[in-house]
This record gives sequence, C-alpha cells and structure tokens, in this order.
Amino acid sequence: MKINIKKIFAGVLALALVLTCFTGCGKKETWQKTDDGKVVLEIGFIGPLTGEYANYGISVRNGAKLAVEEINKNGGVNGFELKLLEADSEASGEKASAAYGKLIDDGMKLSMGGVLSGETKDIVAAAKDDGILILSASASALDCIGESNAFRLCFNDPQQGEIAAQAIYDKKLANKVAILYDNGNDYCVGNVETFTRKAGELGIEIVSTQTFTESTNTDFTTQLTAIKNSGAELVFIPIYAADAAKILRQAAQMQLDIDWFGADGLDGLIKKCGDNVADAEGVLLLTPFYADSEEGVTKSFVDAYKAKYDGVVPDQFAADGYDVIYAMVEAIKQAGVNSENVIDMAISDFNSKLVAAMTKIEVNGATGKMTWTADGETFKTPKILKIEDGKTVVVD
Amino acid sequence: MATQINKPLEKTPISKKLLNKDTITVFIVVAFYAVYSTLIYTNTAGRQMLNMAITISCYILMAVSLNLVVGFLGELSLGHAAFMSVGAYSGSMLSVALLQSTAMPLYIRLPLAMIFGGLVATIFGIIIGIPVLRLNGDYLAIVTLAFGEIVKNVIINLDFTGGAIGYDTKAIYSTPKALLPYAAAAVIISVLLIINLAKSKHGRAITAVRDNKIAASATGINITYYKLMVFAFSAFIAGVAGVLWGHSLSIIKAAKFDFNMSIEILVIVVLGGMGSIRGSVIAAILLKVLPEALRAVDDYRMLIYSLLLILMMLFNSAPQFAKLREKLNIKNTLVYFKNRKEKKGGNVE
Amino acid sequence: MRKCVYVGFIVKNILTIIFRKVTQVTNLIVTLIQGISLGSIYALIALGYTMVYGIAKMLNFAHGDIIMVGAYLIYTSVALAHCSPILGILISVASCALLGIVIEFLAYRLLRRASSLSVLITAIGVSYFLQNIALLVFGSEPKSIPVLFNIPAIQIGNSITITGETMLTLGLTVIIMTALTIFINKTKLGKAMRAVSEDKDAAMLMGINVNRTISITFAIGSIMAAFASLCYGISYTYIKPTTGSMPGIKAFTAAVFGGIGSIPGAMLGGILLGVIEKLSMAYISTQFTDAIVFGVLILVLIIKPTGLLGKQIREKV
Repeated sequence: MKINIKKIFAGVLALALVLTCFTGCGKKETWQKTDDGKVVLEIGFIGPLTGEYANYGISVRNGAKLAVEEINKNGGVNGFELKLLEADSEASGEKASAAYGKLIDDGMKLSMGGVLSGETKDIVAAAKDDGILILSASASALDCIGESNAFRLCFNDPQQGEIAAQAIYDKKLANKVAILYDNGNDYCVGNVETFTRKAGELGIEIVSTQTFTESTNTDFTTQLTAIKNSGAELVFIPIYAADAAKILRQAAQMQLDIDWFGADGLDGLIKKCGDNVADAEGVLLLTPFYADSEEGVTKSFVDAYKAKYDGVVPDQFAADGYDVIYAMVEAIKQAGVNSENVIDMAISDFNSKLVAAMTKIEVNGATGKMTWTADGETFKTPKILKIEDGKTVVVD
Repeated sequence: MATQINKPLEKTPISKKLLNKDTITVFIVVAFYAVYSTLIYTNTAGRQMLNMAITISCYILMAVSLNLVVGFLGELSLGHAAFMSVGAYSGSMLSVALLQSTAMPLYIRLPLAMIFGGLVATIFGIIIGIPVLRLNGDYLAIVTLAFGEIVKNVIINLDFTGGAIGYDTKAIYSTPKALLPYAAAAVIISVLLIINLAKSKHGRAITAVRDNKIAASATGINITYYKLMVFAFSAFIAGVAGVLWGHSLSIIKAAKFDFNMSIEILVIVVLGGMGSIRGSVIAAILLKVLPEALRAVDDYRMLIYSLLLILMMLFNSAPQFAKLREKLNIKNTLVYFKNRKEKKGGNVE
Repeated sequence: MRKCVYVGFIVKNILTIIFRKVTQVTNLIVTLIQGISLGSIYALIALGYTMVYGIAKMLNFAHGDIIMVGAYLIYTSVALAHCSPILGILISVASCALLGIVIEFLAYRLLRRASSLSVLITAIGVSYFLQNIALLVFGSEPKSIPVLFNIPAIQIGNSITITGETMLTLGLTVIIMTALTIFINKTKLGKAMRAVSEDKDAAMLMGINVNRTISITFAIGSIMAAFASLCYGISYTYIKPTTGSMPGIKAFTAAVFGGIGSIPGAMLGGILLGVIEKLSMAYISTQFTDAIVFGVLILVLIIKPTGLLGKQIREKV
C-alpha cells in the first residue's frame, strides 16, 4: 500500500527538483531591454502576502506598486523602466531567504528587503555577498540591518521609545505611566526597553508594566484591572493596531477612563476599530505619516492610492513602500547610472554606486523628509497625533 | 491512540539481500545530496535552490527523528519543535562563545556545537520522557504540546536568550554553500544510525513495546529504558537540526518553534508513512520543495496544500479506497504477473 | 488633645489595613469572575472536543476553526447583511451545525476504521482548509463584530465592575450547559449517543443508527462552537482567520485536563483553565502565564493520568 505512494512521491519529487533547477539554469542576460529601448530595472519585494501578517505585506507592496506605476508613466528614470518582482515570505526567515534566492534567479537588481524585522535580518545575511542595495520599508528592529548595503526607511524601535518618553515629558501628559505590550514581539520589546530607560532619566514614574503574548491576546481584563489599580494616568502601548483595538474595546467595556499613547504601530487604528471608533477617541500616537495630512506629497499619495485601490485609505506601511521606490529613484539619479552606462556593469558595481549615493540623497516623501546615515538609519520628525471624532489631527 | 499501526515495521528483521529496503533508503539519501551538491557547487542550481538546502536538511532530520517516536515507539508527540528550539539556542550560544573566544574555524566549531546542542536537547528529551512512563495516547500528546508551549514561553522571557527579539546569530551565520557538507553528513549519519537501531535487537524491542506493551514487558523487555532511550535519541537528532538551523539564519526566535511547526513535522511523518525512514525523507523534501515550486499560485498555495493533505489521507487510509490502492500498487501488479507466470491457468488470487 | 491624635492615628491605620484587605478581596473576586468568564468560553469549545472524542474516538482539530467560521457568519449576517442580531445568531448556529455534519460526512466518515493518527492529520488538513478559505474571503485584517446586545455593566461597591458582556457569557454558558446535560441524560437521542460512545457495535445491534448518531454529535458539537463564537464575539469583538486556533488549543487542553470524553469534565476543565490563567496573570506573572497554565496541566496529568474526571481504562492483555 505504501509503496505506490512512495513511487508517486519520488516521481513528483524528481519533477519538482528538475523544475526548481530549471529556474536557475535559464540564465538570462544581466540587463534586459524593453521594446522601446529602455533597460528593465527589477526591484524585489519580499514580505508576508499570505497568512496572519499579510495585511502589512500587502500594504507595502501596494504602495511600492503605485510608485513604480507612477514613475513608469512619467517615462521611467535615466532610461530605466522599473519592474516590481514580488515574493511571499509568510513572515518566516527561512522562507524569506528562499524567496530572496528566487528573486535573484529572476534577475532582481535592487531589494526592498523584508517587511518584518526578522525576515529582513535573514535577507540581509543572505544578500551579504551579492552587495545588493537593500532599502527596507518597515523593518524597525535595531540590529536587523547593520551591513553596509542595508538601509531602512522607517525609524528604528529604540528611537521611537525614546521619542515617546520625551514627548510625554515635554507635553506634560502624565507623571505616572503604565506600559502594556506584547512581550513576544520584537517591535514592542524594542520600544519598551528604551522607553523605560528614557522615562527613568526624565523622572516619569512607571507604575505598572503589563504584558501579553500571541497566545493570550484575547482577554486583557486582568492587565487592565491591574493598570486601573496602579493609579496610572496614561498607558504607553507600543503595539500593533489590531491588538490595540481589542484592548481599547475591553477598556471601554470596563469603563476604564485613562489616556493612551502609542507608537507608529497604532497607525490604521481607526480602520481597525471599525464601528467602535469611539473607543479610540483621544488616543495619542507617534507617527511620521498620517493619511489626513494636507501636505503636498502625502496628500497626492493618499489620493492616488485611494484612486488605485478602490478607496482604501493607505496606512503607514503603504506610505513606506511608496517612499522606498522614490528613494531608490533618487539614489539612481544621484549615482548617475543610466541605461547606457549600465550595460557593461556588473550588478554589484551598479549597487555599490547606489549604496554610495544613499547617504547623499534627500527625499521628500509621503512620510516626510529623509536623509540617511552610513549605518543605514534615517531620521524623520515624527508627529504626535490625536484621534478626534474618528479622524487624526496633529497635536502641537 | 497512536498504538494502532497499520503495518508492522519489518517482516524479516535482518535481510540478507544486498538491495534490501535499507540500502535503498541510504542510497536515496546519498544520491539526493550528491545531486544537490553537484548542482550547487557547479553553480548550475539557482539561488532559490541553494538557499533552501539547509531548511530541507533540517526538516529531514526533524522528520526522521519524530518518526522514531511516532512510528517506532508509537507515541504521539506534538511538541517536537521544542527540542529543535533548545538545540538551536544552546548550540548557537556555544558556537558564538567559541568563535568569540578562540576564533575556532567552522569545521571544528559546528560539529562541537551540534553535539552540544544535541546533548542539551537530549536532557530535555529525558525530562519529557518521564511523563511518558505514566501516560499514553492523547494524554501524552497533550503533555508534549504543553511542554512545547512552556519551552517557548520560558525562552521568550529569559534575558540571555535574547527574549522576544530573538538570539542574534549573525556572528556564526554561514552560507548554505558552507553548511551543506555538514548538513549532508548529519542527515546521512542520522539515517544510518536510525536504520541500524531499527535492525538491532533494541529496535525489535522498541517495536515490541509499541505493538503490545504488556506482552513486551512479559518477555523481559525493560519498557522504561526503551521509552526513555527513544525520546532521548529523537531529541538529540532534533537538537542537531536546531544547531544547523541556527547557523543558517542570522536570528533565531523561540516563537518560530511553535505548535504549528511540530504539526508540520508530524504531517511529514504521517504522509511519508509511519515507521518508514525513506518515506519521511522523501516527504520532507517534497513538502519543502512543493510550496517553493508553487510560488506562482501564491494566494491559493495553502488552500491547495490543505486539500492535498485531506485527499492524501483519505486515499492513504480509507478502507473504501483499498481496492483503488491495490490497483495502483506497483508491487502488487508485479507479484500478480509473477504469480500468473508461475501457475499458468491456476487461481491467481 | 494628644490622646485624640493618637486614637485618630490608630483608627486611620486600621482603616487603611481594612481598605487594603477589601481591595485585595475585591481584586480576587474580579479576577475570579474574569477567569470564569474566559473559562466558560473554553468550556463551550471543550464540550465539542469531548463529545466528538467520546463518540468517534477522534481528535477533531478543526473544531477550533468552526468557532472562527461561526464568528465570521455572525459578522457577515449582522454587519454586512444587516440582519437582526437574533437572526444572525440563528444563521450562525444553523450553518455551523451543517458545517459539522458536512465535514464529518466528507472527511471523517471514510476514515472511521483507519488509525486515529490518520484522522488527526485529516482534521489538521480540514483546519488549514477552513482558515485559508476565510483568509481568501475576508483577508487577514481583523473584522469587528458589531455590538449585538446592549447590556450595561453592573457596579458593586467601588471596585467591582462586571461588564454586560461577562454576564451575558456566563448566563449563556449556564443555559447551554444545562440544556446539554438534560439532552444527554433524558432524551432518546442522548441515550443513543451515550450508547454509541460506550460500544459502537453493541449499539448497532440494539437498532441505533450509528452514522446518524455520530452526525448529530458533530452537529451538537458545532452548535456549542457557534455559541462559543457568539460569546467570543461579544467579549472580544475582533476576529481573524486564525481566531479559532489558540482558543481551540486551549480548549483541547481543557478537555484533556478534565478527562477527555467526559462532559462534566470538559465543563470543569474549561472553567478551571480560565481561572488558573487569570489568577496566574493577576498574582504571579503575566509573562509566564502560558508556562504556568501548561505546567499545572502536566502536573495534574502526571498525578492523575486520565484527567480530573476521566474514566480509568484498564489495559487488556
């Protein structure tokens, strides 16, 4: 009985191996030309497109896709026509590493890294010898870049925690603060570590630290009761919007009246709250991007995004993805590579020119003005936003 | 529940034929790695294939080691990934320490780390083996599940493991090209060891425990010893797989080694056939290669996977399909023709 | 004068101590209520596990995902199609019952004589299938279930607040569990179910339609899941395609904890698990909650290997 199954297995296996082999065997010319004489520049996107974290991956991908279309419609850049290659990482490191391999096989020239921090770290490691420019849209954990060819567009977690503590101090929001976060998530933990340190320096008292994990993120009543009893005036929640929506709902059910302060993970909270948007009333958050902005680039991006994706309001991830493409275009212009001089260039040489250009460019994107340091970090001035009547407004 | 096994492991424990089941298994494994490394070191293979080499090897190790527990000992384990996790953390830590203190080259460091990671996992295997002596079936399954969750939860909340952020293994990260020989060696040695164990007197004792515990103990088999031994050995191999895993990525996170991963490995073992080492190896390769080959249909990939899983199980084990299975069975067809030649005109049934 | 201050000081101290004790006690009460509320959702799910196990001797891993389906059905009917909440719940309960029967018929019936491990893997396949269907239809963004019933919270004293959602969950669980107990013990069908779970072949000889009885068991288990999804939706509002898996695993644990196959065991196991989880969160550590809950489980099983109320099975030679 088992034998035949194994034979079928073996047959399919052989076939599959041959198939995967083929993808590598069909080595193409390094630089492909389109019919109208432009050179195709493949940009690789890797991120979770299926599974639990798919919404983040899809947002970044959609933002990047929009930017690529806009640029190509305006005649490309320096004779290049951009092409976005995408591969699913399912939010796991080894899948992302295989996906990186596949994109290299498909002729990727520039990489958008990964969407999540963990997968980006593995992509950076896998890309070490290729020297490919990696500009991640949203990998925020401190050490997930750290190679000379890797950059990120968002600010890193420790920066955020520090800025948050400073903002609470400067605006005199509270003296007694509670923290509620997912201690199984690197983003939250990274934020909390520096927040706690900075709060200590500034003399903000942390009266209660409550945690939850992926397996206990349904019922928050115990943590909320503890926070209520601790006498905190404000709760720092450096978590993602989906968990925050649940927490705010239960706090509303418990009639807990307290201030909330979050980091950029709370972006998109209004959408996540759906009908219960009243729960989010008065929540403060720290983010470089907000969709209700009237500023030029941001507004035009939001309008174009809504027009392309059936009125969906872009979140910060989408804006990050959009800005990554424009930053890459800026780097191409700065490096002076074009469709003529690139033909005889090896991919690593092309990329080392771009890597060198990254620190010299300044991009005015949907998430604000950005410049980069040689260690891959950027700094943007985050805005403190407040949710009022179902809309975000800037707090001065 | 796991004690109902369709087919005994081997009818004749020691086969004298040169081309017996075990040599074929070893041949398949060796051939797989020979072809794979040829393709990779001659740069014929794509980068995707290269980057998958270590993942596939780790899953083969995990599948054959879980098969020891599920297929040979007949106990259901839902927390196998925890052993891998323990091995990955301990082995990687040793490797980092060795690299930083003595700048030891990979060819000494990695085998040392593998043995260390394997041994630490073995200790955990023995710890989890103790409830096994009192429990069986679903109760044991739930204990292994609980054990996996505890390991994950504790690692996430410890400081020296890097907590939720994960343990940074960037220092010991090695390219798939550098790791492949070690992976191949680990897989081949493990397969040889398991085959040898299965053929030995100990192996027969283990299957005796599986098939009938009371009868086995009546014949003087020390059940406690064998159960603990299987759990320990299985954990050792899983630990080695973890160390390999830790060296192939630049960060290890405890959250990765969760219930879902244990289930994934269990699926490999059951699809490959319980008690069949060859089946586990082939199923592990297949289940890791197929999703990569199916990237074109990304959105429907998991749906197709789940449907295939259900259909495979139905086809494999439903009595209603027994006739169909017989029909498609190559071995049976051969026997049928052979019989027909031998007894011409006779009743071939 | 000095005496007055002295007495005043003592009175103040005593009052502080009393106040502290009262806060401690009220905190404990609040935590217990929260635990029982969470536990009753586990118990509802665990009932489905245990009934199916009792009768079909299989672990229906897809059971947790039926909760997810039930929750999405409530969401679709109430939030998208604007049905009344009661109609939405009815749709959800009826469809879940149907889904349970269909899954049993298509996937598990063929495997009734197969090894239980094959059935387990098939159930895992069904679970993945349901999750991925939901993912394709609704996407991975969480959806929020609208407020179905508006029940105000009760305030007892200063520090005990019982939310309307908690009361609804508790009330619903008590009603459902009573109804289920009466059904199992008093009705003909319930007797048939007990007979089949005792001995399938003997039950068949007694003229019981085994296939039908198993179908009905799946339907009832799924109805429990639908009610669990209702409680879940009311209390926790947000649902995702993976919503069912963690409560599913916890409820599975609860069922084994109480002794799998035993209906009172599932109720007890579920509620105890919820209470232990909340108590360890409140008094020991929110970080190590998982480890503590599962640690207690392992201890109980080592001391009493068949769970709290499980039957001792003698091994036959």
